[in-house]
Amino acid sequence: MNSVIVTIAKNTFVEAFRKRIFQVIFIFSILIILSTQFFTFFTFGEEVKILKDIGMAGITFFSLIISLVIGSSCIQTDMEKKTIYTVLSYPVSRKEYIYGRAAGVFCYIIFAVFILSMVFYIALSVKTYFIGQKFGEDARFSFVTFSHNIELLKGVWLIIIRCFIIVSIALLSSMFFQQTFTIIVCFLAYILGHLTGFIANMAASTGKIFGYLMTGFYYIFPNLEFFNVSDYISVGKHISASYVLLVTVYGIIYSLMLVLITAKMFEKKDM
Amino acid sequence: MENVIEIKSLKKVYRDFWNRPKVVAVDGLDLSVRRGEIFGILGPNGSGKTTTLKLLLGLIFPSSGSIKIMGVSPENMECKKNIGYMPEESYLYGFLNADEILDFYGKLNAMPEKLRKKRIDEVLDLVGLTEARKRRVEDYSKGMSRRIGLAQVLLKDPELVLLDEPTIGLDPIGSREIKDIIKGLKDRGKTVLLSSHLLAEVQTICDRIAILYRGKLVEEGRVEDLLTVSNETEIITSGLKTGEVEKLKELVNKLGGNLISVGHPKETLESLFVKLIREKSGKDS
Ligand SMILES: Nc1ncnc2c1ncn2[C@@H]1O[C@H](COP(=O)(O)OP(=O)(O)OP(=O)(O)O)[C@@H](O)[C@H]1O
Ligand SMILES: [Mg+2]
Repeated sequence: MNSVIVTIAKNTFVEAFRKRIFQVIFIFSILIILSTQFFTFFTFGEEVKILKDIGMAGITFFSLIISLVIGSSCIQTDMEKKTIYTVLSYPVSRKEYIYGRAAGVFCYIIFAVFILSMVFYIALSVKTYFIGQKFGEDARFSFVTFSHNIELLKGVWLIIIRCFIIVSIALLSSMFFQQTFTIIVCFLAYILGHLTGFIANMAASTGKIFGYLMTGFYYIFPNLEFFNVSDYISVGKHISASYVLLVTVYGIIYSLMLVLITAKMFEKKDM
Repeated sequence: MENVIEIKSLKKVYRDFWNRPKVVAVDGLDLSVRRGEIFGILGPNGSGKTTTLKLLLGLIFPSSGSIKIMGVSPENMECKKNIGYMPEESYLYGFLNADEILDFYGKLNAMPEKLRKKRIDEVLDLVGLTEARKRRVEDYSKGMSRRIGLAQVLLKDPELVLLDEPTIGLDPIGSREIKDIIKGLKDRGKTVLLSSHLLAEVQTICDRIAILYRGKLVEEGRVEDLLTVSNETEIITSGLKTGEVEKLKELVNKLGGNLISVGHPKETLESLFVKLIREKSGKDS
């Protein structure tokens, strides 16, 4: 592995780790997840379902916020604060810089989602423990079997992959725009990315040119609906491993393409 | 003598988002810097000093003209091993402490770990930051930030050092120390290119200077040649009484000269300040 890329990636990770804003987001999201402890419902089934819903929604939401902030800022502030000048005065090619930044950001997202998931999982275990006490061990095991945990893990994994896509969109967008505008771009991409099914329908049902245009859109925009599996998880449905694999490959190829384009854009940019 | 930097009819036009020309920052610049000298780029604010340095580093690309650093283009990775850069303000990662920052740059420069650790201790000592090495750089004062910026250059120990306004924001003591370090670089055979608008500072350390104005070269040459008023002679004596000065005046008149002024030579305010503070701090410690 190229040591310059590793050095920059590590530095990116440390930067995110020490940033006040991420610490605040972290504490806040942990509090939200923990607060689910205090919900009580009459039937134990509902309680666990709501806990899973809120937990997954919380992880999705906060990992998205983290991706937006880190993706839109990590290269942008380097250029704004001119810290990049010194870095590029070393034998670091512009491509290596972008790859290092991207790698660091991806690692940080994995780290952040991992921590959030652990908190969520602990909260879930505590809750089901009390359910076990209240309704008997059988009731408990009907919700925290091994296969349930595996489904949760798949859901969390897909959240990570989706964040990769969002972050790479942010990195590319930060080649052209300031931070606020990049956040808007990502937000639009996120919404459109979840509307791809709708766009495909439009492509099929409208006239020629508009249809082609829509088909083009359909292929250019990331299909984020692929990653939306939390509805399945909360009702305890099974997600096939081959589906997870396929979507993972899709997401990773999509993100890497965007990172490559970002590096290409960065090569000829005036600092 | 061999030229370390060769700039030929360099031009840089900054463009806006729509690629329309906005500012001509450097306009037809020709410049060469020789190995082993301290070269100063002077000029008022906005005259294109920083732009020239950024072009030399390959941070921005020329609109036309050419730059050669030790024979290669600034975009060449090989040449970056031989260039050190201290930016105008010390644009360094504030979330790291001095140790971590230098370690980061050392790694970027592919320094082996053992050498890196040893050199970091040395340069921190040289710039006087040993005590503050565990503090985050964002909490540093202006002067300390400049020092850590310089420490990074010294750690790299390149053949060519580019310094953008090296002493700005420093107190006289600090700026004298930085100047001593720059002279030390020259003594070790390094080439230094610095930009400044502080004339007094440039005068004391630079061998040659170029003066820019609105991106164009106005004057270039050896500092001594540029500052010597060759048709006037300064006479400095000691041990003369008032009456004897009158005799000297007569003598000068007899020789066909014209005594313009006789006075006691003044030391500059800067050197007086430095001397007093140095004396004081010497007593205290
Ligand atoms: N990124 C940029 N985009 C547009 N114009 C710029 C940019 N950077 C500098 N300029 C303009 O180019 C000119 C030269 O700027 P430069 O920073 O090189 O001056 P300088 O000599 O370093 O000045 P100072 O002494 O204030 O540091 C100025 O008119 C400045 O406004
Ligand atoms: Mg400047």
